[in-house]
Amino acid sequence: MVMQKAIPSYFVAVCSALVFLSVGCDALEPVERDMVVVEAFIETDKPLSPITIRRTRPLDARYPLDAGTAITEAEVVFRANGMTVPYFADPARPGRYLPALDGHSRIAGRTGFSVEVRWQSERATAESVVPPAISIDRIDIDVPDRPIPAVFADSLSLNLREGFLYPVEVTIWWETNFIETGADSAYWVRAKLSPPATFPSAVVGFFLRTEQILREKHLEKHGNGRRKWVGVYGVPVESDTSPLPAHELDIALLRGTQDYAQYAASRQAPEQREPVSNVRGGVGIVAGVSYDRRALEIYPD
Amino acid sequence: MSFNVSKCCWLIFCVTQAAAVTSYAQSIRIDLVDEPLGNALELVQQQAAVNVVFAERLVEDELVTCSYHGNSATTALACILEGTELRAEQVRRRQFVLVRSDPSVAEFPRGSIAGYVRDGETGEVLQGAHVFLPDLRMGTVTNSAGYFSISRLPAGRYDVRISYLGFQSADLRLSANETEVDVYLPTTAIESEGVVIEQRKGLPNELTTVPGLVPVPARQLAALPSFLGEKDLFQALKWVPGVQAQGEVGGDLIVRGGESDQNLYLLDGVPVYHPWHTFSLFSTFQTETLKEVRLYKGAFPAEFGGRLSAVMDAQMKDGSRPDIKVMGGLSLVSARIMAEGPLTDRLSFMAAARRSYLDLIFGRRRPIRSTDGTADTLRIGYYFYDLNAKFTYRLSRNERISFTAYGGADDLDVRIPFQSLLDPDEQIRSGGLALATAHQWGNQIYNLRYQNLLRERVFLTATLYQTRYRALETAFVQPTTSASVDSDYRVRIRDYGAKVDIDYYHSLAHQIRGGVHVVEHDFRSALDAVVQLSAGAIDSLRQEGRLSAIEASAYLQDTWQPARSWRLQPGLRMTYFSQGSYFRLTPRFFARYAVIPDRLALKGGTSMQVQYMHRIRDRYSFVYDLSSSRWIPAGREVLPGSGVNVSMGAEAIPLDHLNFSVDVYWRRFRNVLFPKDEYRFKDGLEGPGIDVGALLSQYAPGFGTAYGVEILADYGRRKWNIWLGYTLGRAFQRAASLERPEAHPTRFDIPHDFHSALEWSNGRWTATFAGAIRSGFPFTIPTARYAVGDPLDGDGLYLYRPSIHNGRLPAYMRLDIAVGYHFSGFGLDWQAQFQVFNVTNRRNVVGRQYDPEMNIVRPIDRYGLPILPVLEIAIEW
Repeated sequence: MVMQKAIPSYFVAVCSALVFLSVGCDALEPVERDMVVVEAFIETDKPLSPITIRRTRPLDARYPLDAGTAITEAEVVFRANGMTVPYFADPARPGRYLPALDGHSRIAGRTGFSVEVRWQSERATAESVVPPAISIDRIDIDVPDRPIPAVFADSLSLNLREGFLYPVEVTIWWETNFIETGADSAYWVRAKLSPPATFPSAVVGFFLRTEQILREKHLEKHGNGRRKWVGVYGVPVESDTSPLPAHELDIALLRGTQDYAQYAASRQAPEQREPVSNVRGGVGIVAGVSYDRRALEIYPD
Repeated sequence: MSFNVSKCCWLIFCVTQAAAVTSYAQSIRIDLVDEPLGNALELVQQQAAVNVVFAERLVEDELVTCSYHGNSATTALACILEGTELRAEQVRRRQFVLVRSDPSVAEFPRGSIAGYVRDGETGEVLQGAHVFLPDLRMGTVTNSAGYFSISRLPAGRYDVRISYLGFQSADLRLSANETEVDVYLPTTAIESEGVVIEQRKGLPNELTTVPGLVPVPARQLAALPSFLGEKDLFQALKWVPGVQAQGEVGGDLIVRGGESDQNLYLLDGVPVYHPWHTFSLFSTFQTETLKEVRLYKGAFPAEFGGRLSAVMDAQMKDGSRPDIKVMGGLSLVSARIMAEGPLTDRLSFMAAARRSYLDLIFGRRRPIRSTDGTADTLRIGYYFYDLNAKFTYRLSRNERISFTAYGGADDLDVRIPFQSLLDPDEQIRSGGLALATAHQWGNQIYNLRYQNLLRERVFLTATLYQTRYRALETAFVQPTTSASVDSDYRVRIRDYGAKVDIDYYHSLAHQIRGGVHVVEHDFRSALDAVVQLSAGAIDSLRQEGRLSAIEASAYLQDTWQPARSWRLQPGLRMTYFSQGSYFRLTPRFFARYAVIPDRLALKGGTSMQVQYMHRIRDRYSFVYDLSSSRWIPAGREVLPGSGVNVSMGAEAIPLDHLNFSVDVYWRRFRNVLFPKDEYRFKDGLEGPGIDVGALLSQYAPGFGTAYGVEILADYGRRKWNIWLGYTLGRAFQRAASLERPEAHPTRFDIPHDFHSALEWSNGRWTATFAGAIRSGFPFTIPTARYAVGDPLDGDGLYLYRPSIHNGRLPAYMRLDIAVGYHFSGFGLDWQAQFQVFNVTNRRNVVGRQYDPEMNIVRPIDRYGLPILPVLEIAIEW
């Protein structure tokens, strides 16, 4: 009687142990501590940029972009070319840190640097390289004489209506005035058009190109080492006789390293993923960048 | 791990054999005077630890006198048989057969028991039927021609038990020197002269050495509920422990934690590269055309290769029934018809067709005209079809030739002029604005097989085949007069293959199978895509690729029965792949030990596999590479995948009518391609293209590990059958070159998977309740939220995910029922089946998202299919 009872108990115990050991517990991974979020973009040939330090918060807490999520007591150090620059919290803007240097210190292109952040027991570090400077040479704007018919849909539900738009073609030119070998062959460019509003049709939106991130070397070179990028944005109008409305257009061109390209390219679907981070011991981005911005006013001829 | 487990198997084997040898070599002491021969034989068997098989009538009334002291069983037996007309003939180690001696013959004659096993109802030959000699505790398994041979038996008559899953077993008494016999296994209990039918006698896989083999007779496929009433092979296989599907009702099969491209699907021995219809909802295998399906999970014998996880070997019916039979059926999705029977005395056929018909009901095709006079056409249509045919010509009793043809395809054709979607009062002033897409894919197979019993113990199977898969995807979208995308993507893989397999029935103890297989693979792909954003912003991508490779392989395996309880199967497969000049040796070893004959058996084994082809997909563009399979060969840029499998198991009949089996497995594979960016999804018009290098840049070679336990219990008695399957398993992957190189669960890692089915049938009515409960699929769960900005943008809110697949969706549960009724009417046999999918209407979570912009971030769930009733009608005449 005892044996009959003991064997099943033993068997059940062994099986339970096996199940536990082999299957394990893969439930949700708790994050007990807030993590450091570092945001540092060091610009080529410009005074050292501010660095923003925030913390992560649990999902059941709100995330206001203010003192509630800022880290104000971190130790932040910038290093480049044997130079160490401490950063100090900006009391006017919680979470922002400013360099303890006069405004004349600039970081030249191709300079490697690192950022180190210490906060409580956390230590976050990252390295990057400042790319050669980039500037927009020329901008060509091409607008058709008349608006063109298009199918507008507020979403992909195929609830359609006919509409009209001016597709505005923008060509940005810049010069790549260095030989793209070795480390200089690994730069990426990001071109971006910022019209006053996003286009109101998802279907047409797929056929507009207001932003692109590309390996610079893969773009065709034109005369004098110049490269170009062509973007398209749309301006909706009421009818096929409406003139192009006057509007403002911001144009930006940025050169960065692969770290930045991965980060920027992975920011577009926040419900699917977080941006690729190059920060060890934390999240965020530390990257050297060079960019040029232009603001244009577009009006009918 | 593999070394330890395989070493453990060897250790058990060696210890058992050492004990046996010790006992065999012990001294024999016999002093008999006028002792009945039966008693004397009993004494020798006890002292020499040998087994002597004899008929009682041979030893009746025989008295023997013998004095022997020594350790030779042969000499001891000769001593006690001296003066009789009998002699002991050794058939293998420690086993003798008592036969009547013929003084005129110097050596005892030996013969074979050989023949064919057939379906008693249709006459189809049965591959994998067990032919067992209970007295000798040994036997064999029929080959693809249904042929068996047990060679070099001492002349005499032997009890033979022939069994096959889903059929009644037959006990016969056959002479070793008879010519080949034809054994017809009936499907219902009958008794006739010389044939005694019994139910569930012995283990169902008594002679199967490879662990993880699941034979699925065609008649079992019809019993389980199926989605939309469409009988489907893959849906049936999902009920097997260790097998999962990617989707709720469809999708590729995941076997023992492998990847979906690691399964080899064979139809009459020929690979099918894309065996799916309706975007992987249904398989291309038409169940009525199949007589048997054998699924090898994880481990497969040396005759199979080329994949790492599983081999599914489906055999098409020969149509060799005595009369012509026609059957048809109508499900919610398709109509089907199948005919089989004799055309002449020697020629038989099987032909079948299936076509979906929803396009005939819901499809649309009508002209559209814009206000500028441009004519267009609205088209919405989708269908799939299968055509199967097999002709078998019997050149002689032992020689036949068969030709198999299969063709199946899917055709999706949609063109929606945007005009047709507008309000009827509204008009588009420019014609041509439209959305159009066409997806066509399909397989074609031709197979010529010649089978001949060359000599008494040598059976030849020679096969020539061609298999081709090709797919076409076109897309055209023009939402404005200045913007459009026009894409044409084609992919094809075509094989020409030749195989020769030889079965050599050497002796009682050894059955040797060997063969060579040469196949030429031809891979082609082409992409022609033009994306026009405006008059001056036009991107075009024109790429074409063609690769070819020769894959040659040779194998040799021995089914070795060294002792009464042991059955071993060592094998070696050698392969050469011309792309990259890879040469690989992949040994296999399987063993089976009958602990209690007919009641309990243990089996285990280890094997290595190599896979020279990978299936990958562009992960950027949603315009092309959506529904098709793109296979690329191994080469200098990508190594062939390789894997090792170790598995052990037990089969038992603890109670009458109850079969119980448990399998433990451990697998590891390497050079398997994993996506470099797990979160990457198709989100743009353009991608890097179809160049192999561009595709490979999206993947990283890595390692995978899977282990688990599979338990299956099957209880069948009278009208009832209960089937319970449970899998406890894990599967992990790791790629060192990735940003997150740590091992994490695979997409389809399911720790707990329980399936059950309760069937009841009284011949006219059938009812099945089938339930599934499993862990949810792995899922990456965010644990925190943060904000980070950019020089060109503002701040963005994001969710922090600490690791890939760090959690999982809620458990999945579903109950399906099916009620069938057989009746006659209008001179036809009818079968109506009413099925209800998800009868409890449970809302299973099949997807989950999080919105970082919410005040409090909570999951947003996507649910699976609700309750779905379906009626299916089948007719037979």
